[in-house]
Amino acid sequence: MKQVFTLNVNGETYEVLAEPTEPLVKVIRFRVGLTGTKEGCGTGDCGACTILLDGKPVTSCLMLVAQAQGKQITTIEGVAQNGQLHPLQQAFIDHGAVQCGFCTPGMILSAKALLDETPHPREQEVREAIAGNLCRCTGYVKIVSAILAAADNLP
Amino acid sequence: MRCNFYQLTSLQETLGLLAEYGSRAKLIAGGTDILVGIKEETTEVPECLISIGHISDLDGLKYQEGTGLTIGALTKVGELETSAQVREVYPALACAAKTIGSRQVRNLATAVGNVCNASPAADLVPVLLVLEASVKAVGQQGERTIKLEEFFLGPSQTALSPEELVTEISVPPPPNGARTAYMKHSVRRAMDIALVGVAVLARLDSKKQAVEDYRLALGAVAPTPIRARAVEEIILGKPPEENTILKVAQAASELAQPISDIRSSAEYRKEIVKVLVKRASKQALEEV
Amino acid sequence: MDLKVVGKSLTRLDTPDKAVGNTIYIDDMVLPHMLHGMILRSPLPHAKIINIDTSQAKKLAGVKAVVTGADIPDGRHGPFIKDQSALAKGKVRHIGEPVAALAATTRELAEEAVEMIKVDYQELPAVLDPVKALEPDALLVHEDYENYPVVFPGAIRKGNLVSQTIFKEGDLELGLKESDLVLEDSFSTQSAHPTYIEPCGAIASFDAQGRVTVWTNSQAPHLTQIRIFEALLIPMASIRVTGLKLGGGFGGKVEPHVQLVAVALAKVSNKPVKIIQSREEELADTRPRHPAQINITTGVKKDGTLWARKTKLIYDCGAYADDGPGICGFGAMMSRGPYLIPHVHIVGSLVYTNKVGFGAYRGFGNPQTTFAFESHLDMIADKLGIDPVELRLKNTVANGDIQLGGETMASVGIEECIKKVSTSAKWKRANGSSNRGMGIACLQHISGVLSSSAVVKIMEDGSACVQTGVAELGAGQETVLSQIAAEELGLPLEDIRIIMADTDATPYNWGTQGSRATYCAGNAIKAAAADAKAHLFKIAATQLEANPEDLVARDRRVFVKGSPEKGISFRELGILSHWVTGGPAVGSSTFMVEARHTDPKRVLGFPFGAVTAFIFAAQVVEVEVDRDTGQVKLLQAHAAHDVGKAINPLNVEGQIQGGFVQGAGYALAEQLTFDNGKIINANLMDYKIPAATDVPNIVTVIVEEPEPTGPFGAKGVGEPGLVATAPALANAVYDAIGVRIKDLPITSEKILNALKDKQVYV
Repeated sequence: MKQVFTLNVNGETYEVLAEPTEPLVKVIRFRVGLTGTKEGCGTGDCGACTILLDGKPVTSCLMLVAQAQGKQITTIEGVAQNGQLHPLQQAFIDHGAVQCGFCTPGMILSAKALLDETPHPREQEVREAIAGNLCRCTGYVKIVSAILAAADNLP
Repeated sequence: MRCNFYQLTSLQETLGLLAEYGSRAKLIAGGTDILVGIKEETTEVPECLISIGHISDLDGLKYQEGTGLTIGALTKVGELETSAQVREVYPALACAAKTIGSRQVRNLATAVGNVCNASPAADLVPVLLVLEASVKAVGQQGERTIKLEEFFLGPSQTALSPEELVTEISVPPPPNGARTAYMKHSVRRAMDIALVGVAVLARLDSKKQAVEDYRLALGAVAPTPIRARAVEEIILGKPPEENTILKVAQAASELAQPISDIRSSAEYRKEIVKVLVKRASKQALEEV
Repeated sequence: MDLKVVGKSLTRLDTPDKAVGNTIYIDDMVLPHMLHGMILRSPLPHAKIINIDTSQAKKLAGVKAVVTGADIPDGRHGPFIKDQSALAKGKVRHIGEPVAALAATTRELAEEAVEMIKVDYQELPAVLDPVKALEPDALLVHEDYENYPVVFPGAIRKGNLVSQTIFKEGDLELGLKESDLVLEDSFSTQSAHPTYIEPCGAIASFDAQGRVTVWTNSQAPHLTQIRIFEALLIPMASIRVTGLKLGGGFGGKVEPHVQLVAVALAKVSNKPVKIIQSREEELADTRPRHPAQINITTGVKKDGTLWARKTKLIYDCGAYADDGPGICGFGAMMSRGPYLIPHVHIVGSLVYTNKVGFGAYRGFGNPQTTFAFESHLDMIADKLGIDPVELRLKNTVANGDIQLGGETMASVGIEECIKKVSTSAKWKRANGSSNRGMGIACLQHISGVLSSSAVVKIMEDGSACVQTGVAELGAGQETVLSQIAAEELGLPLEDIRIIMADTDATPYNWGTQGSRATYCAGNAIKAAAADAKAHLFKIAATQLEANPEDLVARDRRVFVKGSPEKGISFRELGILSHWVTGGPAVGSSTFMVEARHTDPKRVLGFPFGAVTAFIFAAQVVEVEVDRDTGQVKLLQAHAAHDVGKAINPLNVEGQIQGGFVQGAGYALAEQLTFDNGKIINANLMDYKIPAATDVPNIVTVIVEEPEPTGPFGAKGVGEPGLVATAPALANAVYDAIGVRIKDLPITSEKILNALKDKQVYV
């Protein structure tokens, strides 16, 4: 039976009516209406649905909406602040790290979680941090260089 | 997914529900295994799904010198990977944790879930086996401690009764001077399931001439992860020489009873057991 | 020429929206009253449909439409051969074939209801081996095949042989006789899946006039429109297919996926219907690359001169022809490689089996044959004791040489690619002395085939609008094509806006596929821009009292060549145009690679009228092989690609790097595994595409051998990235440990087995 869930997404509170077993990714996309979070496989293998849960990257397709209550959710829509792109977003654009764009939101959130913890990662740490975000377009080269460049440009 | 869903904050209530539904209920903490199983139709939708993720009593990763590590039922795999104490005292456990899925999955999946799911390929289990860990099973009738070695009955089958849940894993401190290693073979370097997983705990005597302690566990090569006790004897009391290690590796390979599946043939898995047992043993012994 | 926009690594136009999550992909769209469709697929590889009982499903509240093969017209569709219906009629030919479909108010309900449809089948023996399928008494996958319409003249087909293409040059027997060394080898390649991260999807909606609009992630909306007509017999003028940005395609989204069923359900329910495929449906039921068996015989002179080549290719077609005839024919054509061999006989055959219909995936038949001949070439080099780089350089084609099929090649950069990639990688052979080794492989491909049209409007304010049927797959088509228009018009990139991939709003384009967008659509856009510009020049000539031929457009102005001060701005011309010609200056153009006459003694059964604008590349990889486990580690990768002219160099690099990594996955790990016609690893844990930790940095070298017929000299770059990667890796593994793997993928298990068989080396 559907219930009302209170979710905190990007600092705002949303009340949604949903089955408690609905995957979080579907709730974020279709009940909250933030479609920047993508669904590529539904089984936690591709990472397109990555969001930050209390600052940590998780695959939102492997969470039920009920499990997300009381947690702080960050989606791609919450990464830019006050109309200013996050340095990662700017670096992805500048370095040609975005091609089809479908993995990009999840990729940026994984990268953000990395830089939040490790502001100056080595290349290998970057690759490990995004190993759960499959990209089929770029060969990862420009994504890795964008993340390293963003790290250099962090305030 | 059509089922009764409960998300409780009390252990007692959860045990009550478990007593009511028994095997018709499934527990989820992180939920990563069960939700994938349901999606891919390898796991049946249970009549009742109980989320224990909000029972704060079950949380927590605690280490005490002397008694060792306690891994609460809500401890994420990712916490084992990053905890400074785990990395220092149980480096192989941190290493095995790091090989599971993606960072995103490790931030959801729990260590207890990885154990209770009873996958033959569960990465944490071989390490926990050589560390001689045990689990605390709690039901309405009370609680009991089950040695991990006796916990697994088959793929997805454990010694838990349908009314019980695991509240924590206890990992005793490794013997003084012992070193551990975990090695995993998979196609991808990350984001992959073990074709073979090997954990070794080893310790030399005070003169560093003979192997005084040697424990070996294998993953993905039998219906459950196994402690390879019969093989361990080969090297106990002997000098840590290449030849003896090779004998151990050979014996482990013979002991392994892997299956052929889409991921690998049985023959290849046996071959990899040999290689990884050799390498993991050397790492554990040479670092002493 | 002093170029202002072309040749610059300008920021892509589409990426700022993508980086913040604002881009709308098909699954992000929701229409009022929209239903969710679900497809019931065949569980059997080959069976007669005896009965379909939909009554239970229809009874379920919320189910609004159910369709089966009996409910749709008897239309059959296909790009080369009309052999497929939108839903199975009478029999199923592969596991996963759509049998019935329904639409319900929620996706969950649709999932539940679709399981209530009961189908009675009478199972038939399955045809699974393409070689056995060619035997005279083999069961037929399509009994009535020879009566199906085929679009190209001279098709060779019979029984389960879908098509055959033959190329002959010189005298093979003589060539082999004159050779000092004759080597024969057999290779095989697996099926791999494009695995775009965005699943296929569509929303279809009818209006009261009977017009249907289909929003979808199609690489080829104009082809989707045709297939909807063919399969469902809806008049084409009543079909609008409007493409969204794609989350990758790589060939897999060219021919229709869920659009036909979505339209059928929308028609019955009279509501918008959305279908989004699951990842399992993607991997198990949607158009992977053809597995192939390749037998090669090569004759070579002692000094390394390639003298004769015989190739027999068998492509497993699966149950429906799809792009198969084109793929088989093109693969056959590429089988000589970028080398001049005087005596050649190539036979490519495409054979029906009861497997999923294989289709276009990056490379279009070329990766299979290139893996074979580039591996084979290294085996020859080994036998002759010649360095593989040297052997290749000795035999490469050059400007003015004739391609198989008769086309004269005008921009051949292969020699430069080989030289530059060897330098970049510091080419050296290990020859099995360590666990490390280097390998090289080359490739040729095309970028010109069939037709693209374009319209360019210069608006009243002097900005310009481009209309093209090309879709933005993610490869940067929007930006690259805008750069071409901007350069031609003398406008900065920000003055150009492009409308793409809409059958009503943009002119015809034969799909964003075959590495053809930059070359074919680029040519059409450049000519359409020139056409629009000519209108402005006419007006400007009057204003400036000059001849239109003496005018140039630069920096938003038109002026007399050599006298930039004597000019008039686009803005002023735009306003004038409004009063002089009655609106914006509109230019249009169609670019077509015209069919050529071919000599029937040399070319038989080639499905294309002509292909052109050949592209070339060479890749070098270094690997380290673990001799105990057989595991291959990629240490470094270098790729030199001749693209004619890089319109946007940063973008070109991205194409090469992305292609290389797909090639590495194809080479080492990716394999759809079949069990009695069923794909049993249909998830992204068991179908293993490379992750960031599996691949190294990829060093790219852009070679620019200008193509005289290309826009600003440009050719394509989309597919080649992966075509030579597998053989380069196979050759590197051989160099490292002395074992030759001839069937893809090169798994660690195969390497270990080969090492064991070999026992002693060095």
